[in-house]
Amino acid sequence: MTEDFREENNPRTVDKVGEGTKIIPSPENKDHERKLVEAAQNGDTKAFGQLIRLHQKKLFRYIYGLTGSFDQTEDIVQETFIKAWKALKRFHPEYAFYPWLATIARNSAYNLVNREEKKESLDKIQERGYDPVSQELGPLEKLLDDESRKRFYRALKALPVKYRSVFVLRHFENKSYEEIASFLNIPPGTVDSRLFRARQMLMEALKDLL
Amino acid sequence: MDHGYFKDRISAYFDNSLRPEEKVIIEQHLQECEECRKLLEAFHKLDRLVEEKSYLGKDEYWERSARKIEEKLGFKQATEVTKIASPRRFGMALKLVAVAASVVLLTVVGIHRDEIWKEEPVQRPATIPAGTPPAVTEEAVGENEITKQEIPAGSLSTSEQSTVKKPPKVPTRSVEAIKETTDYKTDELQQPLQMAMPEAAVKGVADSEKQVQKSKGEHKVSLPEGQGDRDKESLRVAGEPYNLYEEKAQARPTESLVSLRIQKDSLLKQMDSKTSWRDKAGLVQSLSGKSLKDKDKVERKPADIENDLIQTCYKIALLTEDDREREEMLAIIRKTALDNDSPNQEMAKSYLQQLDLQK
Repeated sequence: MTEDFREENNPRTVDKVGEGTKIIPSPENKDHERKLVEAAQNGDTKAFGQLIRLHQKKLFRYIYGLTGSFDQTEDIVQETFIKAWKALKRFHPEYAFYPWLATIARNSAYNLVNREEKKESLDKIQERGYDPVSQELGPLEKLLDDESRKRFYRALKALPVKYRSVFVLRHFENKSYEEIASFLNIPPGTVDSRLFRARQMLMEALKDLL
Repeated sequence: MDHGYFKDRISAYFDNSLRPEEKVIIEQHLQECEECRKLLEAFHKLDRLVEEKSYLGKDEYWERSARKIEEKLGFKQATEVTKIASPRRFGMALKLVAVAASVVLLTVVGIHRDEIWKEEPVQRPATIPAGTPPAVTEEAVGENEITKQEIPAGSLSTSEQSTVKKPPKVPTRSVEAIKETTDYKTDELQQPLQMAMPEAAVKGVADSEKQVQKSKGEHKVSLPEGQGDRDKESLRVAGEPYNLYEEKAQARPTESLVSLRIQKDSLLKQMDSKTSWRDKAGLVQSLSGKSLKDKDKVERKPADIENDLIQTCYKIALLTEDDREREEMLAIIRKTALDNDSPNQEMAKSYLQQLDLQK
């Protein structure tokens, strides 16, 4: 079941790849990454392979946090790198690569959600609270070698999507309240309250780990 | 002010998302309120927990995932097919027999080499049944081979695009100068000769070659007779540094005119055995929208067999001293060159041009 992590259609996220996306300069390893990007732009597939290996985990975590579906996340991550390779010439290597990838991935996630038929209405999903079914991690279980990590992801997945998406954007992507608000089409004040609620729920679920 | 107000703002304070004046008020409140201080501390702990517990381990999964993406992009340089499970049915005994047999065969071929070249029609060794293709235990996609994986237009550099369709290099007319090998898959060539020439033996011959063309592509390890699909399943793509791959790619077997003729006969048979290779090609196309796994289930593309056939004919035409045989080979290649539906048409045309120049 696909969960829609957005309030409503937001034109900003359906921009074509590499266009209209905000790119933030990378803080560290900038030179190394820039060299890889430049090499990849010149057709060096090995360099692009390194970029895949460098960013795929973080990207996966982000998209999984948004969709809550392992299979869809796998597809989106693959699709993201394929789109990035095709559009690489348009990317300016002076900027950080990951935010660009994340934007492509986020748009892909949104497009995927749009393509699929929803079995549940958005309202129902939004209002759904604790869902024992969603606690099943499926294939993700195999990627987590530690029981406490499994517990963390179960707790995250069990969050209602409106809280989870805000939490993921803030904690995994370090997005500001304004950026989150813009992406989710909600007021910044709502970001604040949802983030607070998400934290409270997670702290309750994981209190023995804190 | 209501305590609930402060409590609600702690989260935003933690994220440094408050206006400066609001921040000052919260800081003052924190000095007085232990509950809010504990809440703030809990947010810090949660943040550390997220950092630590959201880590996704299992590096082998991520490596596989990266390779899957590279495959979809048509990247080839970082992949190699290696065997991860040893064959249980034959095991070490089979390997020893195969090595011994190959040594004997190579010795015999070496001793009678001159006779073999002279004889016409071809006199095949007694152990090799007619129509048996030569043993080729490694495959390397040569520079003149058309890349079959779909690569998005415009996404490649000029240098890469140039490798997609490139006219073949013209080797000299000596046997030793033939560096390219023709792709063979074991499921269609389950013949004794393959057992007789294992990888190690072929590599031994190849090592003597000094000027080997660099090739790009993947290596495929062929299996001896009887080790069919089950063992093929045990092959998987595994990584290795690029430079190592290049070294391996340079070790390529030499082909003889005899083996080329045998190979050609086999390929012609395979072409005939396909009821309609166009139908088969249609099947491959229809699968193209599905996953790679589905594509892989197609045993062998008829277009690939045709590709191998014209390559083999090209090599024979280069090597043979017999004008009649050369014409025969040209006729086969010409047939493909005139076939507008064939994906190998361009390749066949370039072969004809090269052969014309050679003449």
